[in-house]
Amino acid sequence: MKNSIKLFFSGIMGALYLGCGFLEIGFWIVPGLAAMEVVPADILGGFVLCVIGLVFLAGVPGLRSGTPGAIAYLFVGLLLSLAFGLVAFLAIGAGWLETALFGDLSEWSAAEMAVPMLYLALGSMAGYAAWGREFFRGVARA
Amino acid sequence: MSKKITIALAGNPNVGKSTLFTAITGKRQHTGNWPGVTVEKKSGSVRHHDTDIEVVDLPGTYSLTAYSQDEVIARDFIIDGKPDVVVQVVDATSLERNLYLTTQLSELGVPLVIALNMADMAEQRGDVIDLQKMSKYLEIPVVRTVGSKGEGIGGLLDAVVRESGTSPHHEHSIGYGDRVEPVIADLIEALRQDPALTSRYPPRWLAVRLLEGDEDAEKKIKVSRARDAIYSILSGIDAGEYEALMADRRYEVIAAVLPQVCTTCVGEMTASDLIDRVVTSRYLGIPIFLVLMWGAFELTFTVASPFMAMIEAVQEYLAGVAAGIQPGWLATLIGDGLIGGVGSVLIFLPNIFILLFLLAILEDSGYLARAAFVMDRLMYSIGLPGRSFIPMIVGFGCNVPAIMATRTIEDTSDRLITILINPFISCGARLPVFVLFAGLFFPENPGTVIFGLYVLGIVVAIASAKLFRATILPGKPAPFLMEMPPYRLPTAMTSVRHMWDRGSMYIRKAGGIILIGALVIWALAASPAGVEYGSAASYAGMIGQAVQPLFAPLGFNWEMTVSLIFGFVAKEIVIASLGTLYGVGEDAGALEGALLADPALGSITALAFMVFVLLYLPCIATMAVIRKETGSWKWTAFSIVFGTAVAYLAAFIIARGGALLFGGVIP
Amino acid sequence: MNQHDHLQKSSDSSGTVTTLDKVPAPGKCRVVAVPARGPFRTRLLAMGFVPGAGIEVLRAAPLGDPVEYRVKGYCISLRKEEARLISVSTGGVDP
Repeated sequence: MKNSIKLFFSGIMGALYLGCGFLEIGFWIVPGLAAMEVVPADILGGFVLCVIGLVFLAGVPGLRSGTPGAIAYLFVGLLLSLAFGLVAFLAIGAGWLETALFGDLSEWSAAEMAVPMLYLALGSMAGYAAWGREFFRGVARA
Repeated sequence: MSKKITIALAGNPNVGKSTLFTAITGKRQHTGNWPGVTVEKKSGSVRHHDTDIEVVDLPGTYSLTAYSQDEVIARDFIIDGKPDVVVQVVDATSLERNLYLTTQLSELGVPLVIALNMADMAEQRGDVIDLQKMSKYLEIPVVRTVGSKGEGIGGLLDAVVRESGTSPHHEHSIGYGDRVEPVIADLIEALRQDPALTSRYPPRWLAVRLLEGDEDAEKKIKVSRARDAIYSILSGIDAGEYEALMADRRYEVIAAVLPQVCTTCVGEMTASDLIDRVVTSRYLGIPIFLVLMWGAFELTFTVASPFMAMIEAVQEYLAGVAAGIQPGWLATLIGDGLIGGVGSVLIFLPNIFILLFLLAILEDSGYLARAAFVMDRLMYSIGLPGRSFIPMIVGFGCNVPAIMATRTIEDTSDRLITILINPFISCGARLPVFVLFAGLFFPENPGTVIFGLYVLGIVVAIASAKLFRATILPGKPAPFLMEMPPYRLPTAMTSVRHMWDRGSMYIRKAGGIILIGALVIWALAASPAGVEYGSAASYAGMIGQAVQPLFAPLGFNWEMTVSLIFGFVAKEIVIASLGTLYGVGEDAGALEGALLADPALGSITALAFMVFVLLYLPCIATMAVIRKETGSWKWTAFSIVFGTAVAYLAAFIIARGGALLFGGVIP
Repeated sequence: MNQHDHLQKSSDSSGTVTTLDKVPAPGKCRVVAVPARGPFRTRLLAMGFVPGAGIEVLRAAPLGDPVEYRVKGYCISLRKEEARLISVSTGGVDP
């Protein structure tokens, strides 16, 4: 029962990350394609999203057949997703700070926060809240 | 009356030693270097009841052979530094391997206390360890600690103070069995011919080291009067065989003790195993590594940018204030020289601190070992270990933190090569020069030219690595024999400490050199009195004009030559300097016009100039960290000369080759 | 290498003797002898590669080299050319 939720979650997150990643790369490579409001054209960021998506998806077959250890893909996916959510947040924050200090803050809009690397991580926060403890019980503090 | 004692913290790497060290000493610690080497030395102090305890953190080692610099430092300190007590920090979750070091430490005959660290982890997975029995069988006090939570520190210090009162222990050394013991006895007998030696080193320890073929011990014997007797014993036996017998025997003793003192629950699949299955997996391993590198790069350079802008703004503001000072020469000394010089030290701080923090997190979490594991095959093919990859990537942002990141490479020559090739990796400061020149002289495809320059930098770095391996630093990368420590959650406190220790070392060790370098360049640019700063009439301008004939074969005019000298401060300054020299100031459009109008400058000369800027001597800050990290002016000078020679050669080939291809004089 | 043969434990006499780099992952084997030389040999012995020790071959890196092993309860990685310097027996190992 619980596993089917994890399976469903991995599949959805994987598909979302991979999809957004392909879009970001596509927008970057094909100049004619206009980037969406919520998905920028960014080849490197797109690559990151694709890799996170693939990690989630790589766990799906194992979760379906109940292979022990398949859950690791879900957790590494969650970790990467949260880590890059934080990276995106800090990078956007730095941009805001620079505009606030040296530029015109009216040119900066909250829409800059609308990047998949940030908002997709919100989904992972829910996943982490649900299953994070279960996994990290086995990891000591340095 | 209070008592003063010194204790040394020994232990395997990755057992939470630095966390325990911080838990014991708190903020009262300082970082320096061990004498003569660039290995970090940490010490601190704590007062326990009425005892002042000086704590020295030894490098993490698996044994006390002479295999690595770290091991020699650790054992030399225990022998020569005469600590009152040695505390071995033991990872409770990996007793068997950890106790191997215990068997070697006990041979040294110093009072020993074991801190059974990360005991909570062992308990959590179901291990039961009987401290009293363990203490009894090993004849060593054992104290349970959890460094990350500060548990057991008081008890540990109690035991330490108690032990420090005892006379030097009997050597509770293990017996090596019927085959080995007679030889050890003979060796001890022979060693006693040299009382000076045996009073300094425990004879049994020295005998065991000699049987193990320890190079450092052999060096000590070479100058001893017991030499001949020792040699005659050693020549009669196959030392390699004895060595294996002794190692085997140590593990046998451990294997005999362990089941009596603890029941462990190993064998079940651990979280670390599961994570490794993903992050080192066949298809995802390398992509995950690259993605994490992108993240680290993004944080280091994007997040640092507003802070760097703030430092620049403050610097400009102060320079503006200084401009009002009379007389004028004092204004430029303070404004351009002093404030500019301090600014060029501080400007790197945001980069350095963020990168060092991230490296500490990667290292403490255990991922850095996996990164080396994943990239090793690729790097090995160019004669470098896997750990060299991260500094090369960071170099694309800035060579200064990149060279500081080589600290994670253990082997000295591996590390030296990684440092020496790093300046060829094109850092962010060179990009403005490329953008200006490629945009002006290759308007059709500036992107391709810039990309080509980056590739050229990588190719030169790889070729240099191969060249160094074939000539001055021969050999192969050090054996990979590397522990893959279990993953841990890094604690903010420890990571911040790491960052602060290494970052503040940059200011202390490299800051002075950068400041002096900047002041020298300022003095050359501002004198003789009354000249326009950085103009042709200044000393810097005169030097540039004097050496210009050297650069004539490359097609560089004197303006370009002088700007290259200023590029030593920071490579992006080349542009500002050209602006001054062409008499157009900071007006970018005017500089572009002046450059295009200059008959000496054609596309081939522009290309040669860009290649020269890519490869020639590193900036002052890079030079200063090379000096700090190699600990040697000789290698610093080598780096400067080598880089400049390569740059000259490459620019020469482009200039003359271009002339040959397109005929006549250089366009 | 001959002089080390007597170090073989009797339990290892069954099974084929090969070098560690030849054991595929995942798999298990037992150290028979350590024919490496010099300081590297000392280090291998200290790290637990002593004759008789059981080794679990965990996994190879993405590019096939190095390989991660478990010995004496912890994980360690070795390049293949270094693993070649350890003789192991694949027979008579507990499953």
